[in-house]
Amino acid sequence: MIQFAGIALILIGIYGLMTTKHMIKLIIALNVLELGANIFIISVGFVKNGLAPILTADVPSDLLNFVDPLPQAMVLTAIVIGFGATALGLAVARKVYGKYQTYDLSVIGGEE
Amino acid sequence: MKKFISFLLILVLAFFLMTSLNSSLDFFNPPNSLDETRMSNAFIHKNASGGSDPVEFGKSTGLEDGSANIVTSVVVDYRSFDTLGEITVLFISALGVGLLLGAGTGAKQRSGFILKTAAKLISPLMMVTGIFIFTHGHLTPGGGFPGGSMMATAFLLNYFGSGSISTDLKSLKWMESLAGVFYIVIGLIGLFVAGSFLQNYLPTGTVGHLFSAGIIPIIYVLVGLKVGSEVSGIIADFSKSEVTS
Amino acid sequence: MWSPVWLIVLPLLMAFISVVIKKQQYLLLNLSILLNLAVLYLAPQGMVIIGGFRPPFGISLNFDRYAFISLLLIQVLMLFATFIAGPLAKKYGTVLLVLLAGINGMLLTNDLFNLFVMIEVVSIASFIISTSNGKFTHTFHYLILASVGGVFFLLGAVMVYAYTGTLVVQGLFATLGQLPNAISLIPMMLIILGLAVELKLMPVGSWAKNIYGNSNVLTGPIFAAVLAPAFGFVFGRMMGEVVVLNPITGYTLLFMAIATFVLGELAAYRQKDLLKTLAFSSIAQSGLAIILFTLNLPFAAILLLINNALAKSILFWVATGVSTAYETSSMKGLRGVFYNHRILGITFSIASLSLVGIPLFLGFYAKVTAVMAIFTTGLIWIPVVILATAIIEGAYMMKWLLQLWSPAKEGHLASTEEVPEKREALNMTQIVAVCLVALILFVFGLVPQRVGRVLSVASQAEISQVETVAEGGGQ
Repeated sequence: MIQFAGIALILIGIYGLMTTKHMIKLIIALNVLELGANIFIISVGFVKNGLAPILTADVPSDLLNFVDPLPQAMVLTAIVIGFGATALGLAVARKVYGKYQTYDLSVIGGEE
Repeated sequence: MKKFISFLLILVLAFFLMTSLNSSLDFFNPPNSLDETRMSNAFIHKNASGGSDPVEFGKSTGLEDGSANIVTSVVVDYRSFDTLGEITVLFISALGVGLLLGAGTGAKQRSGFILKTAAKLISPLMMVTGIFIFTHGHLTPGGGFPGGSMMATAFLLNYFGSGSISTDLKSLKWMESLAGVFYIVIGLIGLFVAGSFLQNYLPTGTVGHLFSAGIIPIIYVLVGLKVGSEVSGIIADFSKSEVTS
Repeated sequence: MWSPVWLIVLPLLMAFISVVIKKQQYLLLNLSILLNLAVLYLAPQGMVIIGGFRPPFGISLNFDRYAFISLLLIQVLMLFATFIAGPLAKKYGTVLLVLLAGINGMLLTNDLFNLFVMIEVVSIASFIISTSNGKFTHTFHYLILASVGGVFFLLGAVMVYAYTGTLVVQGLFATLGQLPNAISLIPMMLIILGLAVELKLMPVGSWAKNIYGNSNVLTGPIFAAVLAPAFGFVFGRMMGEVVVLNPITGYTLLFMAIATFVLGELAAYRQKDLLKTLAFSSIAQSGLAIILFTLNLPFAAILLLINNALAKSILFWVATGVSTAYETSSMKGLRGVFYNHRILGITFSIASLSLVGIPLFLGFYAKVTAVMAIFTTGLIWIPVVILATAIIEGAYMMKWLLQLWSPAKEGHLASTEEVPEKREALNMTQIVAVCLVALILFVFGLVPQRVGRVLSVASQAEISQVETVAEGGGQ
């Protein structure tokens, strides 16, 4: 079920990327897309009545209800990578703003 | 018009994705437990290199991987090389932000009394919580990345409260550099001692104890320090007011 | 002890050190490239496990002939690129070190998710390098496209994991091939789409014309001669080991690549700006390499990638050097410029003749091999398209050579008066370095068979997948 949320967010992100020309909004759309992808990845390893894969004193000893830990590890990596790209994108956007005093790419037009 | 076309395109894409994915991944019916043949079972039962001993919290000793948090054992032990790549991504983007925005001078923020006082009270607590999270990364949810980000948030709060960045940025750079170097050096010791890069060569101890899991807590502390200093560096760079073009 | 892991770890270690000792960045960069060359020579070939867990549980590196050839090419070109870029490479020393580590990781890794991480390392480093042009909107455009590509690649990799339960690259096609077509379709499309941005495939490769077209002496060679072949080799590995094509996806990819090739060359023909011409030519050549890899002809593709990398690096060095010195890259402003820079002119001519594929140059051998190989697949119309497009390519390269050498207006006798005033484009040591690369390219052109023999071993390492699109389509 949660996959639908992931796919919906991915599609909203793509729609945002296609329609907006504002740099900050583009970065937000990119983040929505990444978030959707992360939710989708998490959902891949889900099992019924799933538990977080952490050993504690009171988990059943057969360890059968644990969800797949690998997608969670992948999401951890993906989040950090998305954060890095976002930070760099915002820095570039600020440089553009410093040059043109606007974040709107349609105002800036083709830079030669 | 453009929006309408995009919307139609998205609808087509949604229909396509839903029909073809729904037939292959059972969206409404997750399995009752992980498939026996999945390789992730080896991460959960800690038998990737053989053995069939049951894993019990607080009892099992000397397993191939001693972390109680299985996600941590995947992130920092089984697939530690990914984590090295991941901190490299963070490192390079922090560096890029510094190259782009580092030329400006720090801006003075004006902050009210409440913010000023609260920041003084809360930010040391946040710092300590961050350190707690990354030193217990192999036992509880969390680890180097959340812990490091929490430390950086404390840094941000401190900046809002005091109005300027008082930390010496040079020391942040040193911390970032040394944490990365030690991560690689620990990995290289594994290459020389145990035969493969980033191999766990310390005793793994008892599952669930603070001093267990070999190199995992050491690496997670390093990752936490590195993430904390890098994200703080990014915040410091963004706080510089003058945008030079 | 001599493990290929050093190829990734050493530049990374140097990068971490170079943050605190900024003055020595350039030294550390050159030192790690030279040490990498030594490691390449000394390390034994084979599978290397990282972390002590055998695949699929842990990550492993696949250091075979294919990886060896690609790594050797990248290290050599990186060495020359950093040397010639000089002061710019000093400023971006740490970034270049991380870029080198990422490219080596990308070419070595045997794990699909690790490949995603390495691709992101490389793309973020290349965003930063592209900002040295000072054209930030272009960098932003590239950043958004490449990040979306990265997300698609990640989704593809995760779906592969969901369906097959493994992420090991080697032999993944065998597992994926057992799945029904309808299921493997989406992950394959996502992986190809994810790589398409960096491969400059038609609709999503639009960033390339601006980044390449405004390049300076650092970005041009790094993008055209280091990143382009690196992603080409990664794509080759993916086509050889992972991607399972059915007739629909195969022909879609093929048509996209052919469109990229033909439209790229046509756009290059129409340009009046030297750097823009080279930019579109790079896009087109990347399309040709994708065609060859899609048709499962790795030998011809590797040959083409090497020829392009060597030729493009020289073209970009000379073009960016000259256009920076004369502050223009238009045809008008640069007319007759090689009268002032004869040595650069000769190297530029060698590179462009080899790129076009004139007999006696490596490019000729590469193109003939490619065309002959495609004939064997039975798709006769593709070689026809390639040959027709090669004529366009030859036409505009000749036009540029004539313009750059000839100071005269059309219909007038040549006179030296119309040559622009001489300015220093590249200094003496840089010219020697460019000549050295030109010499390598020239010597390769004299003994193409021998080069081919070395490379054919590499291409056999890459083909574990026998099924081709042509066979799939012919059923």
